[in-house]
Amino acid sequence: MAKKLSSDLTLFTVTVALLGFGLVMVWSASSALAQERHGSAYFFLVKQAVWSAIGLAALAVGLRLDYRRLRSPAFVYTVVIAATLLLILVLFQRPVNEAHRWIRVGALSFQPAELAKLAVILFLAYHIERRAERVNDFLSSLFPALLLIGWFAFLVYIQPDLGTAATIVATAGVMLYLAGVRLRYFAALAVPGAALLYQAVMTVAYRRDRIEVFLNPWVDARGAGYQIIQSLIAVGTGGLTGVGLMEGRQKLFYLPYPYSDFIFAVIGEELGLLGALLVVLAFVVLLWRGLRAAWNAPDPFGMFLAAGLTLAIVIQAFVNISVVLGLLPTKGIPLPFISAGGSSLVFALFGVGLVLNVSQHAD
Amino acid sequence: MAVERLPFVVVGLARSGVAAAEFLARRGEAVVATDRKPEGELQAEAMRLRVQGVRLELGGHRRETFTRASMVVVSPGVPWNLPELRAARAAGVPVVAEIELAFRHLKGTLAAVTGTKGKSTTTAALGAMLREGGGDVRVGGNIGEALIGLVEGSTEATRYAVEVSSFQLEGIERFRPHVAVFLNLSPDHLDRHPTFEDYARAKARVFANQTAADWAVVNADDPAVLDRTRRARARVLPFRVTGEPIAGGDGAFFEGDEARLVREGRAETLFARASVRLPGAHLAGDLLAAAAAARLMGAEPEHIERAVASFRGVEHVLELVATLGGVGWYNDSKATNVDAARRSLLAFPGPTVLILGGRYKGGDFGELGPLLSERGKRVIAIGEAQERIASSLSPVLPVDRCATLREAVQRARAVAAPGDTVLLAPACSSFDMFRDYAHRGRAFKEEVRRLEGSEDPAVTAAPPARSAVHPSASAGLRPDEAEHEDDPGARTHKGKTPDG
Repeated sequence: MAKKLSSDLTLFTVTVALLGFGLVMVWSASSALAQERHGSAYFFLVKQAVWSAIGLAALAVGLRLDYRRLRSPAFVYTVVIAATLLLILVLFQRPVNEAHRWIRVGALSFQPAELAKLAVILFLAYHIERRAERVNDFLSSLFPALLLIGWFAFLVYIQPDLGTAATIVATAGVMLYLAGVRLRYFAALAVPGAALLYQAVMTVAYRRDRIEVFLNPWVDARGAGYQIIQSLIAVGTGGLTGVGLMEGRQKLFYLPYPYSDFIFAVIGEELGLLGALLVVLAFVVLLWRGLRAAWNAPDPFGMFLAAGLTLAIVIQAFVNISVVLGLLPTKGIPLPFISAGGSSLVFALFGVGLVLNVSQHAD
Repeated sequence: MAVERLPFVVVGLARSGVAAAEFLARRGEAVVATDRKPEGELQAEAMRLRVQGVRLELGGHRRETFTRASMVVVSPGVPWNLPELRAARAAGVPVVAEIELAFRHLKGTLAAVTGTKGKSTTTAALGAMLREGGGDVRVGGNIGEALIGLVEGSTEATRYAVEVSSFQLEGIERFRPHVAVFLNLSPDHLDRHPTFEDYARAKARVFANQTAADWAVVNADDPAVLDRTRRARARVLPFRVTGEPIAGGDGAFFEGDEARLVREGRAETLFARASVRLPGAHLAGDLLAAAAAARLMGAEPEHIERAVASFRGVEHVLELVATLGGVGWYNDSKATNVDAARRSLLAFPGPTVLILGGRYKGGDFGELGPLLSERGKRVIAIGEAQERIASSLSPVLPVDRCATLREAVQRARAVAAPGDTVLLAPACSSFDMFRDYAHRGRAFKEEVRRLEGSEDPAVTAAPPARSAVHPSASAGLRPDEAEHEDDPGARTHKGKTPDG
């Protein structure tokens, strides 16, 4: 049974569908705001279209290059060092919403945290492949991995961007689990991990507020609880089939960031439970096809690269949707492919390109 | 206190073990999969199963796991006398082969093919004949996909052509094929079976659960097979290639240029010998047995004839490319790991020039050492893995390194003498130089045919379109790749998964 060198069409289709759907939703969620604030209803739509085009180019690059070249130590460490430098550089940038997340070059802005995500996945795939026979050897296998994960999680956390830091840690954790790291190591790490997280959340006022309003949004309905309440109102209004595309009201100056972090609330309002479930289903398909590409990969590097990239996207989607539905405290992370976004969109599409690349090498 | 539901334990993460674990996990059972090999050698399998919620115990077995199980499913390659399996049996836990588990869950009619040589060809041919007639036909077992991977969604109308090994048959309880084909029996695999008698008995278990409603298709030219048939309860249909008549009426045989079947006094033609595209008389026997079995499974003679006419064997699996100056050239590009290469090598008792290499994908080339010291003439290493191959095997025999497959083929021609075999069984994946194993196999055949063109006319070559399935011509023995099926990675579900 000869097999053609073809990449996973299902994965590609579902990605492009999400991207196209994202354009529609960004248009719907942003046009009124854009008219009001930027004088053109098309402001965010055009931006998103441009970033989508750049992202698709990045996808093509990820698909075409020989992914096995990425596993050279020179490349892996270059990415690790570049991500480190940019994450330090970003701390000296002018803050946006009190966070140092973006590096601006002219009209373009770039989030080094996205590169950090890629750096961690790339390093772990490389490291797991090299240490395959002894993943559970603490000093030589686990310790370097934990050090690197901790380092990037820390750099991202101090921006501050706890949401992306958590995504990085969760992705890395699942990768290590898939690589066969014993559960007792996870158990052992859970205690200090929980302590660190408690520290990170409870010592920072706005995070503590977010936890409180997460537990009960109505304690501060006009302040910290406002966003999540508006989000829940939007989703609740949608009912089973929604109020119809473009017809939603919450995006009109009630719900903050309806076109980015809270776009899923607009989907819930305008397309209802069915539309929202379709989006969830699309991410489930993405997870399935991505992991399938991973377990069919011809080498451990490709396997863990594909698994890590897929997990990063799906975990982020899961966290974003949970936030919108009030199942997790508010975090500023976008819904992959759908939220209006620049570098995050490009990196997500580049990641899919790499997964598609791995998928075409099934042996 | 609630009664705890005990898990299913799958032993051995080869192809069929992975398939069995996945099948059980999909049904919502608690599954523990265990293998002696460590994590590092089973990454793909481990990851695949972990994602599906299977618990893994790698790098060794734990006795408590075996004794506290609702059933233990054993993959080929795991010795039946493993202490943990004995402990499980002693604790009253059923210990079965994967085909037994599959049989308990499948619907439809089953034809099982066993024997020492030619199982794969016969099974593939039988499958092709059944498919000609249409309907839901599933082909697998030791070749292609494991039987357990074929049962999902089967109906009463589903028909199976399944290759079963003596190993699998040792682990059956109720497994009952409607048609059991027993091809031949020769001393083989005595590494696993202590005596020939044990081996023969294991094979004959294919008849064990059959009733008078079933059929046993057996080789009348092989006294050892006939000997094992005597206690079969099924109706016996002997087949014979030699052309001598079959006593007692029923049977399949060649009469003149036609393959004939006599059943309950009625005779009919199955196919014309002239339609056979495969070279070699022995293959005619496989096709005859397959045709008889297909007929008993309900295939029409016209379908059988059509399948025979288009059947060309299995490409890239011990495929005879040409015989040049007394040297047999074989393409086993599908042998993409060390174990598959070892099994491939087992098929050739004579001096063998082995072409190895490509992208390293795990395993220890040193495992080929003992076999190569006995029958290897030279190793030709290609691709990225050549360093590793040279360092593992050069203490055993000369290892040449070549930059390209063409160079390797030319080098092989220079060192092979009449009577030798040149075998491409790379034990590696192909991605450093080729798109996939099929691309590599075709490139190899092209290079060999290029040699063919430059040879003097006295040389005999197999015509391109008629490559043989099995290397019987030079070796006088066909391989039984199936018996050593413990083969994660190479001939696996991977290649078979329908791709989107």
